[in-house]
Amino acid sequence: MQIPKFHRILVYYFTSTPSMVSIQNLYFSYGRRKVFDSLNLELKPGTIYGLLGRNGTGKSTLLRNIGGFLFPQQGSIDAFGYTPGKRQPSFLERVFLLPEDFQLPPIGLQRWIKHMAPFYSLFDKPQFERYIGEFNVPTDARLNEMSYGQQKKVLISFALATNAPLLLLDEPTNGLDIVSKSQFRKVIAGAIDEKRSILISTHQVRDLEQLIDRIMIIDEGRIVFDQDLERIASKLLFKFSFDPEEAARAMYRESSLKGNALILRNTDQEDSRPDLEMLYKAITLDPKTLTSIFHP
Amino acid sequence: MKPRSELFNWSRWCLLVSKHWDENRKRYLLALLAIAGLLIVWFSFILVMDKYTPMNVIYQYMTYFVGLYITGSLYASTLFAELSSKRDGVGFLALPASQLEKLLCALLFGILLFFVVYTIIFYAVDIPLVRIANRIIASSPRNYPNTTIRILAMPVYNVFTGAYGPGFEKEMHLFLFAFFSVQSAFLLGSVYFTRYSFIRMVVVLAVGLLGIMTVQARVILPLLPSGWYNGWTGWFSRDAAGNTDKLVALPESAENAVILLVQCAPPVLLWIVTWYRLKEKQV
Repeated sequence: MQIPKFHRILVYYFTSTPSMVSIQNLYFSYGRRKVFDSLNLELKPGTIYGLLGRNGTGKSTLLRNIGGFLFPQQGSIDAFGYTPGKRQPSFLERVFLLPEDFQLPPIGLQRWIKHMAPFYSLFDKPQFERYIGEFNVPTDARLNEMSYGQQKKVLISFALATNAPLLLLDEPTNGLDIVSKSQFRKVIAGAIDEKRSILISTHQVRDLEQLIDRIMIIDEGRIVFDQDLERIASKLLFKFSFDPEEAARAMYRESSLKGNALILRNTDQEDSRPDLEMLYKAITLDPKTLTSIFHP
Repeated sequence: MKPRSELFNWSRWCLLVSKHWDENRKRYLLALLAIAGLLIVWFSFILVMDKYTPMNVIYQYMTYFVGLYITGSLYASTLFAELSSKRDGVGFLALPASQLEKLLCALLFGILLFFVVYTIIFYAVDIPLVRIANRIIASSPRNYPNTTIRILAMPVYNVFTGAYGPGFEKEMHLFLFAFFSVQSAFLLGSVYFTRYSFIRMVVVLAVGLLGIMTVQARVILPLLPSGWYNGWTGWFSRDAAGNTDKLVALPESAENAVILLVQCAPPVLLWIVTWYRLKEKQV
């Protein structure tokens, strides 16, 4: 059952929904290069998370830790009561990681489905066919003869049709054309329900702006910002203005043809749509000022 | 519904085997055809070149084992090749099957089926060519060079009994059993090394062999009394004529147990190490 975004936010805040994934004091490094230091994170069902961060801050590494492909060097990860690193089959059925880079075998789509689907007890073939239809992927082609974008659409469709409660999508819109990006947003928005959580790591915030319920920004080994969009909209005002006084009061500003794009304190509870790209830039530039608004 | 075991589930393993076969069967069939083709070319070359004893047992023995070791170790080192890259490794590890099931699938194809199919292919080529060689000998009888000893029909080498083969193979099936250890070592190498696993495993095995030979020559032999040597399972001394005159050996039952342990334990040990390595693998 698809649930409206606002309802999802209410569920997040006003119910004692247990976390689907709980990460405590995660420490991870590649040799001497520290990636995470005491990273804490909670993922709750019914939410689409957007994970943002600069290149090399560990977005993919975090997804791989949650998926059980990398092991925490310190700290713990709990996903539905499982330790991901043990890679138990029943855990692997519940988590689907769509990597940025992947390779599908040189066989036909139908044959691939025939062999992959039985591993996922909740796999729904009509659902898969519906997604494949929505993405306009040819069903009679061999996987290795498809374009990267088509292969990605096959994997996205498969990931959703497994009905895995946790989807980890690493740069899912990379390689998708404009129409496909819009189809992707539509498909993902229709696939979220109260039992499922989707974590999307991306650089392309604009692609997913209308999809994400909650934004998390990772920097210097920690989650430096973790807020839902409704709360961001209630605390911050995003607007264009030619008023120099307003620009001077702004917590962040950038000039554009439409005037100064500003982030201001939303003291009068005005309605505005958060511009995630601008918010991301503001937080990476001066994390203290913005986060202090949310944690006075 | 009863929950499926997290360690091993028969139906899940069958799915894994079926998936592996379906994704690789074209490649495997082509490889088997290539092996058959190479055997035909090689045996035909011997048939043409050796005018006296074409297809004799030693040729068959050497060809069987050299081919088995080379193709087997090359194949084993590709069985977990997905794990050498992040791109393929995620897909392999993410598949909802236990690491034991994935290992057993690799063992089925890499150790058991490969050995059976290679042996069938070998005999499918070897038996007809031995018959051709014997027809040639029968049609124009000949003696061994510079002797009056008649060359008789060549037998087909039996890899399981080692009959007509070298003594150590006949008595202990040395190369036959060692193959499973070597094959298992290359399988472990394909999990252990991220790149060039075949070459690296060749180096590791060569260094290991060199180490054993050094220990034998520099440590064990100097410890033995003068004129004493160590054999496969005991020690012996030779008289002036070169015949064994004294022998220190285990009782036969204990000796047989040691031989069985040496034949069977290394592959099992290597499979266990591979399983643990697979569980610890990160991509």
